[in-house]
Amino acid sequence: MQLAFLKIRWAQFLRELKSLGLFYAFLLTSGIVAALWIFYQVQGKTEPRYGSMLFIVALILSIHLNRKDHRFIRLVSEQPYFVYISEYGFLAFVFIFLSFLKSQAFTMFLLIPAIATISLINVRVIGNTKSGFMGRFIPASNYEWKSGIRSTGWFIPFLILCGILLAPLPFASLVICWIILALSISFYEQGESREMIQSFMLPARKFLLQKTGIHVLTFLLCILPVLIANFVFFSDKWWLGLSFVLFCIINIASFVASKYAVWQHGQINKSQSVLNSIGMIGLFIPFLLPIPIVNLVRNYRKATHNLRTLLNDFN
Amino acid sequence: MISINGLNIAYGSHQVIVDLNWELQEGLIHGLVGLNGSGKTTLLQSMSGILKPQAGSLNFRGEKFTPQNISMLETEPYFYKGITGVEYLHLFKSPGNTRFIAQEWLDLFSVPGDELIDNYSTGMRKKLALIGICKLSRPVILLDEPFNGLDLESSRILTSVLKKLVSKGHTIIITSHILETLTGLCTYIHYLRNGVIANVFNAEDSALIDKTIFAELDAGIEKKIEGIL
Repeated sequence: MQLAFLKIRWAQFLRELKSLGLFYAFLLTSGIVAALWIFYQVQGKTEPRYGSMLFIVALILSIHLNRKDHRFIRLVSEQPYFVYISEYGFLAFVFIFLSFLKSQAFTMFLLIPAIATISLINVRVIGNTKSGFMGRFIPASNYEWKSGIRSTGWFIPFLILCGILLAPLPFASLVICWIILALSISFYEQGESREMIQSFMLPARKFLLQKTGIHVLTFLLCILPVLIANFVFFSDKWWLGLSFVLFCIINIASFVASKYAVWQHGQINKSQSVLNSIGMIGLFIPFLLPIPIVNLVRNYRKATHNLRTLLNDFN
Repeated sequence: MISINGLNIAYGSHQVIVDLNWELQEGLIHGLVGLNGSGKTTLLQSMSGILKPQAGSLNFRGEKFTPQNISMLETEPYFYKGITGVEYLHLFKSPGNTRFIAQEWLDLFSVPGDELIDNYSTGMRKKLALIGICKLSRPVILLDEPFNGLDLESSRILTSVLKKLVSKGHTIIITSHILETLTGLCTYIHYLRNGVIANVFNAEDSALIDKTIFAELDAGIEKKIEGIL
Protein backbone atom coordinates (compact mmCIF):
# COMPACT_ATOMS: atom_id res chain seq x y z
CA MET A 1 0.00 0.00 0.00
CA GLN A 2 2.80 2.42 0.99
CA LEU A 3 4.63 1.71 -2.26
CA ALA A 4 1.43 2.30 -4.25
CA PHE A 5 1.03 5.70 -2.58
CA LEU A 6 4.64 6.63 -3.31
CA LYS A 7 4.11 5.69 -6.96
CA ILE A 8 0.99 7.89 -7.08
CA ARG A 9 2.94 10.81 -5.56
CA TRP A 10 5.73 10.42 -8.09
CA ALA A 11 3.22 10.33 -10.97
CA GLN A 12 1.49 13.44 -9.53
CA PHE A 13 4.83 15.24 -9.27
CA LEU A 14 5.69 14.47 -12.90
CA ARG A 15 2.19 15.51 -14.04
CA GLU A 16 2.49 18.84 -12.19
CA LEU A 17 5.93 19.38 -13.65
CA LYS A 18 4.59 18.82 -17.16
CA SER A 19 1.64 21.17 -16.60
CA LEU A 20 4.00 23.95 -15.48
CA GLY A 21 5.57 24.33 -18.87
CA LEU A 22 9.28 24.39 -19.68
CA PHE A 23 10.08 27.78 -18.11
CA TYR A 24 8.47 27.10 -14.73
CA ALA A 25 9.63 23.47 -14.67
CA PHE A 26 13.18 24.69 -15.19
CA LEU A 27 12.70 27.36 -12.51
CA LEU A 28 11.32 24.82 -10.03
CA THR A 29 14.05 22.26 -10.71
CA SER A 30 16.72 24.96 -10.35
CA GLY A 31 15.08 26.08 -7.10
CA ILE A 32 15.11 22.54 -5.69
CA VAL A 33 18.75 21.97 -6.70
CA ALA A 34 19.75 25.35 -5.25
CA ALA A 35 17.92 24.61 -1.98
CA LEU A 36 19.65 21.24 -1.66
CA TRP A 37 23.02 22.81 -2.43
CA ILE A 38 22.47 25.50 0.23
CA PHE A 39 21.41 22.78 2.68
CA TYR A 40 24.58 20.81 1.88
CA GLN A 41 26.76 23.87 2.41
CA VAL A 42 25.06 24.83 5.66
CA GLN A 43 25.78 21.41 7.16
CA GLY A 44 29.07 21.84 9.07
CA LYS A 45 31.63 19.06 9.25
CA THR A 46 32.19 19.13 13.00
CA GLU A 47 29.53 20.73 15.19
CA PRO A 48 25.93 19.50 14.93
CA ARG A 49 23.51 21.67 12.92
CA TYR A 50 20.16 21.50 14.67
CA GLY A 51 18.79 24.48 12.76
CA SER A 52 18.53 22.69 9.42
CA MET A 53 16.99 19.64 11.11
CA LEU A 54 14.36 21.87 12.75
CA PHE A 55 13.67 23.52 9.40
CA ILE A 56 12.91 20.13 7.81
CA VAL A 57 10.70 19.15 10.75
CA ALA A 58 8.79 22.45 10.37
CA LEU A 59 8.44 21.82 6.63
CA ILE A 60 7.05 18.30 7.14
CA LEU A 61 4.75 19.49 9.92
CA SER A 62 3.42 22.22 7.64
CA ILE A 63 2.77 19.69 4.88
CA HIS A 64 0.99 17.35 7.29
CA LEU A 65 -1.26 20.06 8.70
CA ASN A 66 -2.13 21.61 5.36
CA ARG A 67 -2.65 18.58 3.15
CA LYS A 68 -6.23 17.98 2.05
CA ASP A 69 -6.19 14.22 1.53
CA HIS A 70 -6.32 12.99 5.13
CA ARG A 71 -9.87 11.71 4.71
CA PHE A 72 -8.96 9.92 1.48
CA ILE A 73 -5.92 8.23 3.03
CA ARG A 74 -8.01 7.08 6.00
CA LEU A 75 -10.59 5.72 3.59
CA VAL A 76 -8.27 3.64 1.44
CA SER A 77 -5.65 2.61 3.98
CA GLU A 78 -6.22 0.65 7.17
CA GLN A 79 -2.96 2.04 8.53
CA PRO A 80 -2.76 5.67 7.40
CA TYR A 81 0.06 6.18 9.88
CA PHE A 82 2.43 4.07 7.72
CA VAL A 83 1.41 5.95 4.57
CA TYR A 84 2.39 9.25 6.20
CA ILE A 85 5.68 7.83 7.53
CA SER A 86 6.66 6.42 4.14
CA GLU A 87 5.85 9.69 2.33
CA TYR A 88 7.63 11.96 4.78
CA GLY A 89 10.52 9.49 5.07
CA PHE A 90 10.90 9.54 1.29
CA LEU A 91 10.86 13.33 1.35
CA ALA A 92 13.45 13.52 4.15
CA PHE A 93 15.66 10.80 2.68
CA VAL A 94 17.60 13.16 0.44
CA PHE A 95 18.35 15.46 3.40
CA ILE A 96 19.46 12.52 5.54
CA PHE A 97 21.71 11.36 2.71
CA LEU A 98 23.29 14.80 2.28
CA SER A 99 23.85 15.03 6.03
CA PHE A 100 25.66 11.69 5.98
CA LEU A 101 28.12 13.14 3.49
CA LYS A 102 28.89 15.96 5.95
CA SER A 103 29.05 13.69 9.01
CA GLN A 104 25.82 15.05 10.42
CA ALA A 105 24.22 11.63 10.79
CA PHE A 106 23.37 12.13 14.47
CA THR A 107 21.24 15.26 14.03
CA MET A 108 19.54 13.85 10.99
CA PHE A 109 18.67 10.60 12.74
CA LEU A 110 16.60 12.76 15.07
CA LEU A 111 14.36 13.31 12.05
CA ILE A 112 13.07 9.75 12.20
CA PRO A 113 11.29 10.03 15.60
CA ALA A 114 10.14 13.54 14.59
CA ILE A 115 8.53 12.18 11.40
CA ALA A 116 6.94 9.34 13.35
CA THR A 117 5.44 11.83 15.83
CA ILE A 118 4.14 14.16 13.11
CA SER A 119 2.49 11.20 11.35
CA LEU A 120 0.56 10.46 14.53
CA ILE A 121 -1.11 13.90 14.58
CA ASN A 122 -4.77 13.51 13.82
CA VAL A 123 -5.54 16.52 11.64
CA ARG A 124 -9.28 15.99 11.87
CA VAL A 125 -9.05 17.18 15.48
CA ILE A 126 -7.11 20.29 14.50
CA GLY A 127 -9.33 20.91 11.49
CA ASN A 128 -8.18 22.84 8.45
CA THR A 129 -11.60 23.78 7.18
CA LYS A 130 -12.28 26.80 9.39
CA SER A 131 -11.18 30.27 8.43
CA GLY A 132 -7.51 30.89 9.23
CA PHE A 133 -6.08 33.22 11.83
CA MET A 134 -4.56 35.83 9.52
CA GLY A 135 -7.55 35.73 7.16
CA ARG A 136 -9.76 37.22 9.88
CA PHE A 137 -7.86 40.50 9.82
CA ILE A 138 -8.19 41.06 6.08
CA PRO A 139 -11.31 42.93 4.85
CA ALA A 140 -13.93 40.85 3.01
CA SER A 141 -13.42 42.96 -0.12
CA ASN A 142 -9.83 41.67 -0.37
CA TYR A 143 -10.87 38.08 -0.98
CA GLU A 144 -7.74 37.48 -3.10
CA TRP A 145 -5.47 37.86 -0.08
CA LYS A 146 -7.88 36.17 2.31
CA SER A 147 -8.00 33.13 0.08
CA GLY A 148 -4.31 33.28 -0.83
CA ILE A 149 -3.04 33.50 2.73
CA ARG A 150 -5.24 30.55 3.67
CA SER A 151 -3.98 28.49 0.75
CA THR A 152 -0.34 29.11 1.71
CA GLY A 153 -1.12 28.03 5.27
CA TRP A 154 1.57 28.83 7.80
CA PHE A 155 4.05 29.95 5.22
CA ILE A 156 3.43 33.71 5.24
CA PRO A 157 3.34 34.06 9.07
CA PHE A 158 6.50 31.92 9.11
CA LEU A 159 8.18 34.23 6.57
CA ILE A 160 7.17 37.31 8.58
CA LEU A 161 8.77 35.75 11.66
CA CYS A 162 11.92 34.93 9.67
CA GLY A 163 11.97 38.51 8.35
CA ILE A 164 11.95 39.89 11.90
CA LEU A 165 14.53 37.42 13.21
CA LEU A 166 16.89 37.95 10.27
CA ALA A 167 16.60 41.75 10.39
CA PRO A 168 20.21 42.22 11.65
CA LEU A 169 21.51 40.71 8.39
CA PRO A 170 21.80 43.26 5.58
CA PHE A 171 18.97 43.02 3.00
CA ALA A 172 17.60 39.80 4.55
CA SER A 173 14.30 41.38 5.70
CA LEU A 174 13.70 43.06 2.37
CA VAL A 175 14.39 39.82 0.50
CA ILE A 176 11.82 38.09 2.69
CA CYS A 177 9.27 40.84 1.94
CA TRP A 178 10.08 40.30 -1.72
CA ILE A 179 9.37 36.56 -1.33
CA ILE A 180 5.98 37.37 0.27
CA LEU A 181 5.15 39.68 -2.64
CA ALA A 182 6.30 37.03 -5.14
CA LEU A 183 4.04 34.48 -3.41
CA SER A 184 1.10 36.84 -3.81
CA ILE A 185 1.32 36.63 -7.64
CA SER A 186 -0.64 33.38 -7.47
CA PHE A 187 -3.41 35.14 -5.47
CA TYR A 188 -4.38 36.96 -8.65
CA GLU A 189 -4.93 33.92 -10.85
CA GLN A 190 -8.46 33.10 -9.76
CA GLY A 191 -11.23 35.09 -11.41
CA GLU A 192 -14.20 35.87 -9.17
CA SER A 193 -17.86 35.80 -10.16
CA ARG A 194 -19.65 38.71 -11.85
CA GLU A 195 -21.76 39.20 -8.74
CA MET A 196 -18.66 39.68 -6.60
CA ILE A 197 -17.33 42.41 -8.90
CA GLN A 198 -20.72 44.08 -9.17
CA SER A 199 -21.06 44.04 -5.37
CA PHE A 200 -18.56 46.94 -5.27
CA MET A 201 -21.10 49.05 -7.22
CA LEU A 202 -18.33 51.22 -8.68
CA PRO A 203 -17.43 52.21 -12.24
CA ALA A 204 -14.46 50.36 -13.76
CA ARG A 205 -11.75 52.93 -13.03
CA LYS A 206 -12.85 53.56 -9.44
CA PHE A 207 -13.15 49.83 -8.91
CA LEU A 208 -9.54 49.27 -10.02
CA LEU A 209 -8.31 52.17 -7.91
CA GLN A 210 -10.13 50.99 -4.80
CA LYS A 211 -9.00 47.41 -5.32
CA THR A 212 -5.36 48.49 -5.71
CA GLY A 213 -5.61 50.67 -2.59
CA ILE A 214 -6.98 47.83 -0.45
CA HIS A 215 -4.36 45.39 -1.74
CA VAL A 216 -1.44 47.77 -1.20
CA LEU A 217 -2.66 48.52 2.32
CA THR A 218 -3.09 44.83 3.15
CA PHE A 219 0.41 44.00 1.89
CA LEU A 220 2.05 46.90 3.71
CA LEU A 221 0.29 46.02 6.97
CA CYS A 222 1.37 42.42 6.48
CA ILE A 223 5.07 43.30 6.10
CA LEU A 224 5.03 46.26 8.52
CA PRO A 225 6.70 44.36 11.40
CA VAL A 226 9.47 43.23 9.04
CA LEU A 227 9.95 46.77 7.68
CA ILE A 228 10.12 48.19 11.22
CA ALA A 229 12.69 45.55 12.22
CA ASN A 230 14.73 46.40 9.12
CA PHE A 231 14.52 50.13 9.95
CA VAL A 232 15.72 49.52 13.52
CA PHE A 233 18.94 47.90 12.29
CA PHE A 234 19.48 49.91 9.11
CA SER A 235 17.95 53.33 9.84
CA ASP A 236 20.79 54.99 7.90
CA LYS A 237 19.54 53.22 4.76
CA TRP A 238 15.91 54.32 5.16
CA TRP A 239 15.74 55.27 1.48
CA LEU A 240 16.29 51.61 0.57
CA GLY A 241 13.15 50.57 2.45
CA LEU A 242 11.20 53.43 0.91
CA SER A 243 12.32 52.50 -2.62
CA PHE A 244 11.34 48.90 -1.89
CA VAL A 245 7.85 49.98 -0.77
CA LEU A 246 7.48 51.98 -4.00
CA PHE A 247 8.57 48.93 -6.01
CA CYS A 248 5.95 46.84 -4.17
CA ILE A 249 3.15 49.38 -4.79
CA ILE A 250 3.87 49.45 -8.54
CA ASN A 251 3.96 45.67 -8.67
CA ILE A 252 0.69 45.24 -6.74
CA ALA A 253 -1.02 47.78 -9.01
CA SER A 254 0.33 45.79 -11.95
CA PHE A 255 -0.97 42.49 -10.47
CA VAL A 256 -4.47 43.96 -10.03
CA ALA A 257 -4.55 45.46 -13.52
CA SER A 258 -3.25 42.26 -15.13
CA LYS A 259 -5.88 40.19 -13.31
CA TYR A 260 -8.77 42.25 -14.63
CA ALA A 261 -7.23 42.61 -18.10
CA VAL A 262 -7.91 38.90 -18.64
CA TRP A 263 -10.72 38.39 -16.12
CA GLN A 264 -13.49 35.96 -17.01
CA HIS A 265 -16.32 34.84 -14.73
CA GLY A 266 -14.99 32.07 -12.49
CA GLN A 267 -11.98 31.26 -14.66
CA ILE A 268 -8.42 30.65 -13.51
CA ASN A 269 -5.90 32.49 -15.65
CA LYS A 270 -2.19 31.91 -15.12
CA SER A 271 -0.97 33.67 -18.26
CA GLN A 272 -0.25 36.95 -16.48
CA SER A 273 1.75 35.33 -13.69
CA VAL A 274 4.78 34.79 -15.93
CA LEU A 275 5.05 38.51 -16.83
CA ASN A 276 4.41 39.50 -13.22
CA SER A 277 7.18 37.13 -12.09
CA ILE A 278 9.62 38.61 -14.59
CA GLY A 279 8.68 42.08 -13.34
CA MET A 280 9.40 40.97 -9.78
CA ILE A 281 12.90 39.79 -10.75
CA GLY A 282 13.54 43.44 -11.68
CA LEU A 283 14.56 44.06 -8.07
CA PHE A 284 17.71 42.01 -8.70
CA ILE A 285 18.19 42.58 -12.44
CA PRO A 286 17.76 46.35 -12.93
CA PHE A 287 17.08 46.29 -16.69
CA LEU A 288 13.86 44.38 -15.93
CA LEU A 289 12.66 47.15 -13.59
CA PRO A 290 10.45 48.96 -16.18
CA ILE A 291 8.44 45.77 -16.87
CA PRO A 292 5.90 46.27 -14.03
CA ILE A 293 5.31 49.88 -15.17
CA VAL A 294 4.83 48.84 -18.82
CA ASN A 295 2.58 45.99 -17.63
CA LEU A 296 0.57 48.37 -15.48
CA VAL A 297 -0.05 50.89 -18.26
CA ARG A 298 -0.87 48.23 -20.85
CA ASN A 299 -3.13 46.16 -18.59
CA TYR A 300 -4.90 49.11 -16.98
CA ARG A 301 -6.44 50.04 -20.34
CA LYS A 302 -7.36 46.44 -21.06
CA ALA A 303 -8.81 46.00 -17.56
CA THR A 304 -11.05 49.08 -17.75
CA HIS A 305 -12.27 47.90 -21.14
CA ASN A 306 -12.91 44.36 -19.85
CA LEU A 307 -14.81 45.60 -16.79
CA ARG A 308 -16.81 48.25 -18.61
CA THR A 309 -19.56 45.87 -19.77
CA LEU A 310 -20.09 44.77 -16.18
CA LEU A 311 -19.70 48.05 -14.35
CA ASN A 312 -20.79 50.67 -16.86
CA ASP A 313 -24.17 51.11 -15.22
CA PHE A 314 -22.50 52.32 -12.02
CA ASN A 315 -21.10 55.40 -13.77
CA MET B 1 -43.99 46.20 -15.74
CA ILE B 2 -41.14 44.25 -17.31
CA SER B 3 -41.20 44.50 -21.07
CA ILE B 4 -38.98 42.85 -23.64
CA ASN B 5 -39.32 43.91 -27.25
CA GLY B 6 -37.85 42.38 -30.39
CA LEU B 7 -35.19 40.40 -28.54
CA ASN B 8 -32.81 38.38 -30.71
CA ILE B 9 -29.95 36.29 -29.40
CA ALA B 10 -27.77 33.93 -31.40
CA TYR B 11 -24.70 31.82 -30.72
CA GLY B 12 -22.89 32.07 -34.04
CA SER B 13 -25.38 30.98 -36.67
CA HIS B 14 -27.67 29.29 -34.13
CA GLN B 15 -30.57 31.61 -33.30
CA VAL B 16 -31.73 30.89 -29.73
CA ILE B 17 -34.16 33.75 -29.05
CA VAL B 18 -36.12 34.90 -32.08
CA ASP B 19 -37.75 38.33 -32.08
CA LEU B 20 -39.17 37.77 -28.61
CA ASN B 21 -41.79 40.12 -27.20
CA TRP B 22 -42.70 39.51 -23.58
CA GLU B 23 -44.51 41.51 -20.92
CA LEU B 24 -44.55 40.55 -17.27
CA GLN B 25 -46.62 41.95 -14.50
CA GLU B 26 -44.73 43.17 -11.43
CA GLY B 27 -45.13 41.72 -7.92
CA LEU B 28 -45.76 38.13 -9.04
CA ILE B 29 -43.85 34.89 -9.40
CA HIS B 30 -43.54 33.95 -13.06
CA GLY B 31 -42.52 30.46 -14.11
CA LEU B 32 -40.54 29.97 -17.28
CA VAL B 33 -40.60 26.50 -18.76
CA GLY B 34 -39.33 24.98 -21.94
CA LEU B 35 -37.70 21.83 -23.18
CA ASN B 36 -33.96 21.35 -23.07
CA GLY B 37 -32.22 23.92 -25.29
CA SER B 38 -35.26 26.13 -25.64
CA GLY B 39 -33.29 29.19 -24.45
CA LYS B 40 -34.51 29.67 -20.85
CA THR B 41 -31.05 30.31 -19.42
CA THR B 42 -30.09 32.46 -22.40
CA LEU B 43 -33.18 34.59 -21.87
CA LEU B 44 -32.47 35.05 -18.16
CA GLN B 45 -28.81 35.82 -18.84
CA SER B 46 -29.74 38.52 -21.33
CA MET B 47 -32.15 40.03 -18.80
CA SER B 48 -29.45 40.13 -16.12
CA GLY B 49 -26.92 41.68 -18.50
CA ILE B 50 -24.59 38.67 -18.70
CA LEU B 51 -25.38 38.21 -22.39
CA LYS B 52 -25.63 41.03 -24.86
CA PRO B 53 -28.52 40.55 -27.30
CA GLN B 54 -28.00 41.16 -31.02
CA ALA B 55 -31.17 43.22 -31.10
CA GLY B 56 -34.06 44.25 -28.88
CA SER B 57 -34.74 46.16 -25.71
CA LEU B 58 -35.21 45.03 -22.12
CA ASN B 59 -37.04 47.50 -19.89
CA PHE B 60 -38.15 47.70 -16.31
CA ARG B 61 -40.68 50.38 -15.39
CA GLY B 62 -40.06 51.98 -18.78
CA GLU B 63 -36.28 52.22 -18.38
CA LYS B 64 -33.40 50.01 -19.44
CA PHE B 65 -32.49 47.20 -17.04
CA THR B 66 -29.49 48.01 -14.84
CA PRO B 67 -27.61 45.84 -12.34
CA GLN B 68 -29.23 47.87 -9.56
CA ASN B 69 -32.70 46.52 -10.26
CA ILE B 70 -32.02 42.90 -11.13
CA SER B 71 -30.19 39.94 -9.61
CA MET B 72 -29.82 36.40 -10.87
CA LEU B 73 -29.15 33.01 -9.34
CA GLU B 74 -27.34 30.88 -11.87
CA THR B 75 -27.86 27.13 -12.20
CA GLU B 76 -24.38 26.49 -10.85
CA PRO B 77 -23.28 29.55 -8.91
CA TYR B 78 -19.55 30.18 -8.84
CA PHE B 79 -17.75 30.97 -5.62
CA TYR B 80 -14.26 32.21 -4.87
CA LYS B 81 -12.04 29.54 -3.32
CA GLY B 82 -10.70 30.01 0.18
CA ILE B 83 -13.33 32.34 1.64
CA THR B 84 -16.07 31.52 4.13
CA GLY B 85 -19.81 31.82 3.67
CA VAL B 86 -20.01 34.82 6.02
CA GLU B 87 -17.19 36.57 4.15
CA TYR B 88 -18.97 35.98 0.85
CA LEU B 89 -22.16 37.53 2.22
CA HIS B 90 -20.21 40.52 3.57
CA LEU B 91 -19.39 41.47 -0.02
CA PHE B 92 -23.00 42.20 -0.86
CA LYS B 93 -24.57 45.43 0.25
CA SER B 94 -28.17 45.34 1.38
CA PRO B 95 -30.27 48.44 0.67
CA GLY B 96 -30.33 50.89 3.55
CA ASN B 97 -34.00 50.39 4.40
CA THR B 98 -33.88 46.59 4.64
CA ARG B 99 -33.01 44.53 7.68
CA PHE B 100 -30.53 41.77 6.92
CA ILE B 101 -28.75 39.72 9.56
CA ALA B 102 -26.58 37.14 7.82
CA GLN B 103 -26.54 34.70 10.72
CA GLU B 104 -30.36 34.49 10.80
CA TRP B 105 -30.44 33.53 7.13
CA LEU B 106 -27.58 31.07 7.51
CA ASP B 107 -29.38 29.44 10.43
CA LEU B 108 -32.66 29.34 8.47
CA PHE B 109 -31.04 27.40 5.62
CA SER B 110 -28.63 25.45 7.91
CA VAL B 111 -25.54 26.80 6.17
CA PRO B 112 -22.30 26.78 8.24
CA GLY B 113 -21.19 30.37 7.67
CA ASP B 114 -17.73 30.03 9.26
CA GLU B 115 -16.72 27.10 7.06
CA LEU B 116 -14.78 27.65 3.85
CA ILE B 117 -17.09 27.52 0.82
CA ASP B 118 -14.72 24.95 -0.74
CA ASN B 119 -16.12 22.40 1.72
CA TYR B 120 -19.79 23.12 0.98
CA SER B 121 -22.03 20.62 -0.77
CA THR B 122 -23.83 21.61 -3.99
CA GLY B 123 -27.01 22.32 -2.04
CA MET B 124 -25.20 24.49 0.51
CA ARG B 125 -23.57 26.53 -2.26
CA LYS B 126 -26.93 27.11 -3.88
CA LYS B 127 -28.43 28.18 -0.57
CA LEU B 128 -25.55 30.58 0.07
CA ALA B 129 -25.99 32.13 -3.38
CA LEU B 130 -29.70 32.49 -2.66
CA ILE B 131 -29.01 34.24 0.64
CA GLY B 132 -26.69 36.62 -1.24
CA ILE B 133 -29.51 37.43 -3.66
CA CYS B 134 -31.93 37.96 -0.79
CA LYS B 135 -29.43 40.35 0.79
CA LEU B 136 -29.23 42.42 -2.40
CA SER B 137 -33.03 42.70 -2.29
CA ARG B 138 -33.34 43.91 -5.88
CA PRO B 139 -36.83 44.48 -7.32
CA VAL B 140 -36.47 41.76 -9.99
CA ILE B 141 -35.05 38.36 -9.05
CA LEU B 142 -34.20 35.74 -11.67
CA LEU B 143 -33.78 32.18 -10.45
CA ASP B 144 -32.42 29.58 -12.86
CA GLU B 145 -33.25 26.12 -11.54
CA PRO B 146 -33.14 27.15 -7.85
CA PHE B 147 -34.47 23.80 -6.61
CA ASN B 148 -31.67 21.75 -8.20
CA GLY B 149 -29.55 20.16 -5.48
CA LEU B 150 -31.71 21.43 -2.63
CA ASP B 151 -32.87 19.03 0.07
CA LEU B 152 -36.55 18.63 0.86
CA GLU B 153 -36.50 20.95 3.87
CA SER B 154 -34.58 23.71 2.07
CA SER B 155 -36.96 23.50 -0.91
CA ARG B 156 -39.89 24.15 1.45
CA ILE B 157 -38.06 27.04 3.08
CA LEU B 158 -37.18 28.51 -0.32
CA THR B 159 -40.81 28.31 -1.43
CA SER B 160 -41.87 30.23 1.68
CA VAL B 161 -39.09 32.80 1.24
CA LEU B 162 -40.10 33.43 -2.39
CA LYS B 163 -43.74 33.92 -1.42
CA LYS B 164 -42.67 36.39 1.27
CA LEU B 165 -40.44 38.29 -1.17
CA VAL B 166 -43.33 38.64 -3.61
CA SER B 167 -45.59 39.91 -0.86
CA LYS B 168 -42.97 42.64 -0.30
CA GLY B 169 -43.22 43.75 -3.92
CA HIS B 170 -40.43 41.81 -5.62
CA THR B 171 -40.95 40.24 -9.04
CA ILE B 172 -39.55 36.75 -9.43
CA ILE B 173 -38.92 34.82 -12.64
CA ILE B 174 -38.10 31.21 -12.03
CA THR B 175 -37.18 28.29 -14.29
CA SER B 176 -37.41 24.65 -13.41
CA HIS B 177 -37.25 21.29 -15.13
CA ILE B 178 -39.81 19.99 -12.68
CA LEU B 179 -43.17 21.44 -13.62
CA GLU B 180 -44.77 20.51 -10.29
CA THR B 181 -42.46 22.82 -8.37
CA LEU B 182 -43.72 25.75 -10.43
CA THR B 183 -47.44 25.03 -10.49
CA GLY B 184 -47.72 25.35 -6.71
CA LEU B 185 -45.64 28.51 -6.59
CA CYS B 186 -46.19 30.70 -9.65
CA THR B 187 -49.07 32.85 -10.76
CA TYR B 188 -48.32 32.43 -14.46
CA ILE B 189 -46.26 29.91 -16.32
CA HIS B 190 -44.70 31.00 -19.61
CA TYR B 191 -43.80 28.35 -22.14
CA LEU B 192 -40.72 29.13 -24.21
CA ARG B 193 -40.59 27.22 -27.48
CA ASN B 194 -38.22 27.73 -30.41
CA GLY B 195 -37.04 31.06 -29.03
CA VAL B 196 -40.44 32.66 -28.47
CA ILE B 197 -43.05 32.62 -25.72
CA ALA B 198 -45.50 30.16 -27.25
CA ASN B 199 -48.08 30.10 -24.42
CA VAL B 200 -48.87 31.76 -21.12
CA PHE B 201 -50.78 29.63 -18.64
CA ASN B 202 -52.50 30.27 -15.40
CA ALA B 203 -50.49 28.09 -13.00
CA GLU B 204 -53.66 26.38 -11.78
CA ASP B 205 -54.22 24.82 -15.23
CA SER B 206 -51.58 22.17 -14.63
CA ALA B 207 -53.37 19.58 -16.79
CA LEU B 208 -53.46 21.95 -19.75
CA ILE B 209 -49.81 22.91 -19.24
CA ASP B 210 -48.84 19.28 -19.08
CA LYS B 211 -50.77 18.45 -22.20
CA THR B 212 -49.43 21.37 -24.22
CA ILE B 213 -45.80 20.98 -23.29
CA PHE B 214 -45.43 17.25 -23.14
CA ALA B 215 -47.90 15.91 -25.73
CA GLU B 216 -45.49 16.29 -28.63
CA LEU B 217 -42.51 15.16 -26.57
CA ASP B 218 -44.28 12.07 -25.24
CA ALA B 219 -45.23 10.99 -28.74
CA GLY B 220 -41.62 11.23 -29.86
CA ILE B 221 -40.37 9.33 -26.81
CA GLU B 222 -42.94 6.55 -27.34
CA LYS B 223 -41.75 6.13 -30.91
CA LYS B 224 -38.09 5.95 -29.88
CA ILE B 225 -38.80 3.41 -27.12
CA GLU B 226 -40.79 1.33 -29.59
CA GLY B 227 -37.72 1.16 -31.78
CA ILE B 228 -35.39 0.22 -28.91
CA LEU B 229 -37.48 -2.27 -26.91
